[in-house]
Amino acid sequence: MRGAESARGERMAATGDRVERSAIEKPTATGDLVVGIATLAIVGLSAAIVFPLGIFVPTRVAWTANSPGFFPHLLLLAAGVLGLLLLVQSLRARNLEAPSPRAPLRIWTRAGVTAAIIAAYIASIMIVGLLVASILALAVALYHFGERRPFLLTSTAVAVPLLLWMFFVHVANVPMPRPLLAHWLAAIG
Amino acid sequence: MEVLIESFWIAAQGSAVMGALFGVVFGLFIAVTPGLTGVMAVAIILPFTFALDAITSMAVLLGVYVSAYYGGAVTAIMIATPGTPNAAATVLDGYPLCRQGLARKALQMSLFASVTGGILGVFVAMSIFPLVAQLALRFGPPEMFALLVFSITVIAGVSGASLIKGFLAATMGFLLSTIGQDPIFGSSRFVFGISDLMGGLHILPILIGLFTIPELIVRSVAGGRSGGAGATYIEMGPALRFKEYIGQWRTYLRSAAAGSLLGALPGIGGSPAAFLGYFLAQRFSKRPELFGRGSIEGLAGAEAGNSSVAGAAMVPMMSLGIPGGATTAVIMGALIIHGLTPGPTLFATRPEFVYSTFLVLIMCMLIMLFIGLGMIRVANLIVRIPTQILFPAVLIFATYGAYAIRNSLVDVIAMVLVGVLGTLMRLQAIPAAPLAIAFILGPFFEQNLRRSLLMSGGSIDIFVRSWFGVAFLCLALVSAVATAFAHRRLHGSSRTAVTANG
Repeated sequence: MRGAESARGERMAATGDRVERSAIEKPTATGDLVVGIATLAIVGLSAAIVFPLGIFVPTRVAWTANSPGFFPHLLLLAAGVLGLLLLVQSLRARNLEAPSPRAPLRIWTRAGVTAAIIAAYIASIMIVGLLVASILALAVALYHFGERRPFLLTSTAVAVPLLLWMFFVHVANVPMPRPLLAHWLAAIG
Repeated sequence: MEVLIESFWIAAQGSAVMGALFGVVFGLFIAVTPGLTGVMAVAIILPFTFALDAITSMAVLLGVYVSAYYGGAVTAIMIATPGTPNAAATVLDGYPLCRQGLARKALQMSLFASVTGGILGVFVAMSIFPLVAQLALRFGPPEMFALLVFSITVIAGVSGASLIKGFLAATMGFLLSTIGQDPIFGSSRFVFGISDLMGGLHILPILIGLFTIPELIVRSVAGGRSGGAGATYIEMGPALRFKEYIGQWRTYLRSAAAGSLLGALPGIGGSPAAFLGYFLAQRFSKRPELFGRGSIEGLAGAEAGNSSVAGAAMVPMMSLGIPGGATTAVIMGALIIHGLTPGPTLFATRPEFVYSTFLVLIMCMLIMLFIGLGMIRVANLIVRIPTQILFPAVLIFATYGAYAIRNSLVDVIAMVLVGVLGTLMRLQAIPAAPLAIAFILGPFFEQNLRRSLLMSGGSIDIFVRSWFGVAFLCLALVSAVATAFAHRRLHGSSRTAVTANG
């Protein structure tokens, strides 16, 4: 067993076998076209709205290296040029690209559910606090990743966040965020 | 010679050895925990060193300091979560090696490369101590900018099949680095009333978001089965062979030399040195196509590069009294508490203390080698956890880590948003490494560019007024042209790269 494992490892190291790509990691020229268009749209939106709102540039330093907008505007210009290049390149490549099968909807749904779990977890931290949110999120994530044994699922979901919480609070002296729920309960009580 | 012998006996005293041992164990423990960085570890331990004598106190602090350069590599390799920013480049090849079932080899190589690079860095620092100190003094913003331009050519080396995508990712990284207080004018940028953003985004949530969250989402697609034969595990695989370790001697030398140069410049730190070491390893590799897919050379270059900074970063602090970063600033504070004022006079008045400090650094690295080997055995426990339990747990681990850096939920939200960006990038084969490099170098790049232009009244000839500037810009040009040719040879034309992706 050990020998087989070793042989496999040696073979991989020698041949540089590529890390297996998942079904959703299939970049296409059409995808690049979307990235190019999105980049140009974001650059336009940033130039028109985000930059004027996000950076205060006093008139006396405008268009000088002293301006807080000097470097970000240079970068915006670079992003615009790169977006345009990607757009042109992908338009040319699309004609040469062979149609490739897309990943089934089931796979995209799984990825979407994972993203939703992460989003819900972060949102719930503010409401119920880091510890409770972590316990709930871990339980759901474990189930989503395929763990079905009730005892293992429950004990892991409780133990991991609890141990981390105890370490950060009692050893590293990290103050944990006060959840909105605590404020609401205090207001009621 | 007499000074060196005296320094050796000072460094070899029992209390210093015990202090170094304690510091290394404590530092490794902190460094493997995302969210707890080297500077935090040194700050936590500092009050406990007040009662110790100067060299024992330094041994404890240097033990923590040295282990922080390596410790972050363990989680970077095993779960794609860099424990410290220094491990940013380690994840590029360390994690792919782990996914190929070569975790043991990757962990051992990262440890040996880290110790080798670290020791070489100390020797470089010791031998060129006075010279580097003088050179560092002559580095103004234009020279620094020229050096950074050279460093940025690294981006091309980690861009994968498409240079356009690589530079697009780098632009995103630079833009993210502009969030917060403007370094020259002092006003806020892209803060939108969120006070936690005034200090800018922290590197660790960005790294976790960029590497860990996309991995989590991609892994979830595969799903898993609960226990039994259907469960999947990380494989430790075979051990590193001595031939594989020694075969990388050129990589250690190159990365340590580059890391020492960068480390001697105040404020640069380990991450840029790691990327430069990685880039040099790729540039001179006979198999550059393996980089980013699980190259042992890439891993060795990154680890030797970041650890070599440990010794070099002590040079400006000890010789000029200029701390290179937050960690060395805390160590400098400890020296002052013990009545030793770092600066030009320290070497003249207490040369034995300066050299014994460097010897203690070497001792800490050797101790780290043995403790690190023990830690790899502990990593065996991680591989026994099925991936369907490990990866959800990593989400919680990463979230606690992102929050603990500055006790801010803004960092957690930043981690998730960058995670979403990183996932979208990964689906379309836009490389994450250029974004990480640009985010790390962004503040230095902007500050030195704008300061230089302010000094010259807007004239760009300031960058070629000194020999250093000319030399680094020429080096950057040569590097860019060579990388472009190497890229073309490796990936073919851009068009074929895009069509091949499909």
